[in-house]
Amino acid sequence: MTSGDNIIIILYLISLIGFIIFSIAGVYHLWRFGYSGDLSKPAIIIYTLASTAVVLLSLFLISIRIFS
Amino acid sequence: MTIKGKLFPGQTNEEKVFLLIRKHWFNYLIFLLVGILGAIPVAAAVYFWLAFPSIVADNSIDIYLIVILTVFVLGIFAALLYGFVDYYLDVYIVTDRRVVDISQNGFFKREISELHLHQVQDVNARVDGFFETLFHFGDVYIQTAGERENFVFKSVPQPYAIARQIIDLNESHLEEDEDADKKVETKPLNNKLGEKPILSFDKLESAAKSLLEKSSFAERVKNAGIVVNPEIKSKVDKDNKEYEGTLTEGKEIDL
Repeated sequence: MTSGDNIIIILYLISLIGFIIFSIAGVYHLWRFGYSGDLSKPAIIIYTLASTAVVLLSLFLISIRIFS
Repeated sequence: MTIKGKLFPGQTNEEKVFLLIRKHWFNYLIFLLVGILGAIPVAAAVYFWLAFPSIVADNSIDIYLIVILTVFVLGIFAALLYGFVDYYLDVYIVTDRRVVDISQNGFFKREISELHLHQVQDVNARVDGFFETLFHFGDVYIQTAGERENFVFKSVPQPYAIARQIIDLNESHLEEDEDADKKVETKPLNNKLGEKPILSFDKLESAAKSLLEKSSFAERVKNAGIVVNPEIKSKVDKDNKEYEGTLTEGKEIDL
């Protein structure tokens, strides 16, 4: 790993924290103000699953590159 | 057909919700287009990565590519979420009593304004534009009485049907008000035991007047249920007779 790799991983983690805070705010609004039976709950589930999958996949791939 | 459940703050249990309207899906299309357009470079990068793994590995750019792609994809997800919250939590509600406009602007600005049906003076619908005509959506303008700001349902599906329903609800609400007023005017006065009606307000008023005119001061006190000290009573009766006599003679009373 070079110092450039370290910097980009740190930047990635910072942006990831920002994304998580943003997501919590959005999901909270949908959960709080959505009505039962409408699309707000399915949207929360789809969004959470999709973004979690992307983040986990990226962390997995980065860890493979680092430790290989 | 009514929608059950509590949909906005201040909704009473008896209040029936007839319409719950969101903006037409076309309003969310801009965010969907951002997502679709954003997916193209992501797909191209993934294809490049899978098709030429040796180039990516040889140039030591794989970590950079992973991070950039992930941040890009998460940015698209965030934009889609923001657009969905902004679009989906904007709601117009029409009940049998009022019109409620719930407006969500981004994550941190939410406004709720309402208008009572009796304040509605006129309702217009307007479909203006190519896409509006194609997909049957437009604006509904609700003109209000007095200096209140007019209500506008922006980009709602089937605006003419919505305007018609609001007009119908307004008319039925006004009719109900008139009926209620008539019932109050003609409602007879019931006695304390809740038995059959005995008098109307007018009859009761005239009966009370005649009773006051005919009865003496002592009778009035007795009818009013006031217990008077016998000494005071005799003095009052005496004074009362003097005053009555004085009045009939048309002289001034020396108090």
